[in-house]
Amino acid sequence: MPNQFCKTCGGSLESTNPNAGCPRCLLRMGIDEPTIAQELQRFNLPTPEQLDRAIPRLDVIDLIAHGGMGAVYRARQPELDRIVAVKVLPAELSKNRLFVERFAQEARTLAKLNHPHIVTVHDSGITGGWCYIVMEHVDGITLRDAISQQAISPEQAVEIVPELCEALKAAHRQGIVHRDIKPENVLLTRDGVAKIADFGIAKLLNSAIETDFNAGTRRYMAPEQLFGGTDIDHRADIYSLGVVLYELLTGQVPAEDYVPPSRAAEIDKRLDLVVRKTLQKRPELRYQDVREIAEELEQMRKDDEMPARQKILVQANQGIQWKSRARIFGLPVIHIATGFDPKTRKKRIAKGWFAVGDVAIGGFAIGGLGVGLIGIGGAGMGLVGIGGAGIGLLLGVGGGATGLIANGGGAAGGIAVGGGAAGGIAVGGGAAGHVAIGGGAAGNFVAHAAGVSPPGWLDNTVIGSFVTETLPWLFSALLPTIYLCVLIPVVLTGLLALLKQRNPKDGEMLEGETAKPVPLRYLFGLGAAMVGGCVAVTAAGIQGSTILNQVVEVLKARF
Amino acid sequence: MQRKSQSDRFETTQWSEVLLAGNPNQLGAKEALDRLCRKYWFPVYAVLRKRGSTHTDAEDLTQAFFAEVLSDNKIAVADKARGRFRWFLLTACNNFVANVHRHQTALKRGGGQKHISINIDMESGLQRYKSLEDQQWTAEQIFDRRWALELIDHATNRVRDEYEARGKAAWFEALEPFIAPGTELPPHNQIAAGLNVSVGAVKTAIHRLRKRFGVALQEEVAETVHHRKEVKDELKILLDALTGA
Ligand SMILES: [Zn+2]
Repeated sequence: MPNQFCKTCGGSLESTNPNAGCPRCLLRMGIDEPTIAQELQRFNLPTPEQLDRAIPRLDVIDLIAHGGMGAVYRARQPELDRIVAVKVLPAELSKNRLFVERFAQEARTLAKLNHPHIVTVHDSGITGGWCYIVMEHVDGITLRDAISQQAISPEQAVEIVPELCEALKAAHRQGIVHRDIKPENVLLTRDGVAKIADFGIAKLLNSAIETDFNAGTRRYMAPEQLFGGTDIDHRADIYSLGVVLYELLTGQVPAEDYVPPSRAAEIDKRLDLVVRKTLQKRPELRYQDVREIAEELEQMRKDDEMPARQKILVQANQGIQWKSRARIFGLPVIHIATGFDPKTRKKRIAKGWFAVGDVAIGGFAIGGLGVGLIGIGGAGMGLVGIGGAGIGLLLGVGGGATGLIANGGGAAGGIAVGGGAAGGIAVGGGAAGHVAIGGGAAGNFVAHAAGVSPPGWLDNTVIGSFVTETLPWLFSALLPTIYLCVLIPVVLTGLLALLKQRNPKDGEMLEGETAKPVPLRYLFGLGAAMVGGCVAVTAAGIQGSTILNQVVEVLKARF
Repeated sequence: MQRKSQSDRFETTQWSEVLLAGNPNQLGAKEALDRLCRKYWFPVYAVLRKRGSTHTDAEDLTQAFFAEVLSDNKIAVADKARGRFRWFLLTACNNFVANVHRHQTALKRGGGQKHISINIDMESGLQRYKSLEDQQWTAEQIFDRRWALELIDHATNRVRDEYEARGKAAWFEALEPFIAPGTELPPHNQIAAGLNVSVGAVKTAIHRLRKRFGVALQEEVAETVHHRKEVKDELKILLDALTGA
């Protein structure tokens, strides 16, 4: 075998493994790589031995991690017989008196912060030229390591983030903002429990050390924080948490114009909503409380636990939800709601002065089931009810209609007009009532059918005058007017509302619902249904009144 | 405070554990020594072959040698020496070789052979020795050169295991040649296409792998020296041995 020579060092390549490369160059890598002791020296941090001497009440065991922002050591606290972690800050900081003061103050606040998802601070001090913090030792890895090892599934992310929310909630309640939430500052125990580290301290370090060390941190910062805003509050943490969530889901930090996580990775689309609301540039548009994020994620998890069939139903039928901001007596002027609420898994109900939906309740309600002053729908109920089944206190119009005045295929009511009509006054193919007029009529007082003479009282009784004078007016003039004057404006307003729903302005999107624009086909469908319904109902009304009118004319001529 | 006087507390290495124990039957010392011997048996075998032993003889002698090493009195010598594991093993090996005739006679009589726990894959030794170009070197040089190559192997395995544990075996296989390429290698974009990632990601991964390999080498060396401070010096000696200086 001809002896080959290394292109870098010129030595012969005698290694038996062709994959292994040049042994001399390989060995040199071990020599060139700084040892941990050298690294610590470079950052002016103590070796475990030095720290052990500097803090007599602790037995420092070894170094856990180190970098430009300090080092973390493992130590034993003999009097309590527990293992603790000691974080040592870069030496130059202890020379900065202002920093030392703020550090001491911060450490005192943090020692009061006790939460299962926050790394507990036991103690702090300054010794041998180093500021240090003694804290709970977490046996595990950082979230950063877990992410780079691709060890976290979206399902786990949905479990981890609520824990972080709880921790932040506890801190925020005490007025403590972390200001540097990032995967490096989250620890995962061996059991997978998440704990936030470096509350308050990270913030101090970032302001004290102006170097490229913050470069990584900047990607997690809220815009108001990044551009040096003065009123930075807990909502900055909410933004950072959103970045972490995004990274957990997709493995990447969201860019300026990030794609929804469900498009960057194969994950649940519902998470897009949470991410979007967390990453709002304006703090007032974000979740206002971390608890809300936890609740949404929790709900999502519950949804996933429900029976598959129901889940498909809910997911396939997310529908739309839109409320106008304008309200009258607390009720929105317009409320459009269809499908299932993914949060409660219940069917949405539209409630408003103008309510449109699968189930609509309101002043003017249009829906599969419309209940209102005027209810229009498959089943329309109300003062005026119009629909497949129209039930109206005053007027019912529909396939089967009942009401004081009922007009429909089968009508029952005070005055009933229909194919088969039953009522005080019944007009229809087969009519039954006190006064019945029709092909085959049976009546208590009056029965008028082909070949049967009606009695003469119709001309000189109250009922008679109502039937012969008031009814014609009512049906020929009033009903069409109601239909046209009310239905057309309602349909127009509804359509307008639908168009607005397609392009919601920030903040008009309510309750975190349906952030996506409604698909056009939805709008066309609903619009067509509304116009069609309106035309059909109007036509039915006009037709009904015309028939009745004609019948009454016949009656008047007869008697 | 007594505990503070133990200056070795931070620098515990496998070898220093053996030295501290001074006796292989104490605590974890036996395991530590056993593990070290298993890792570095090949330089001993190579020296024995250089001395003219056949493969079969070298196999028996290597076993006999480690049986002797694992006996108490040898460690007592090492304790006095306070040196590095490599020195200890080389010294022991030289003494052993000087008496090789006595050992061989003993082996032939079937006596003096103690059972030792290390299970050495001698077939691989045969293969590897065949591929050596060791004729030009002295026994000591062969020992150190072989030691250096073993060290590189162990560091490589250490890093490979880590990658495999993280489910990134494919990355390691693709990038290993880039740690210290002696020859021209395929361009980065070819590797990137193979791994289905960007060229930038490949470059970052190579950088990270190199850094990790350097640290792994230090960790491997640290096991065999008395004090962590000696790591770089040991690496330099081994580099010199490979260069032939
Ligand atoms: Zn080379």
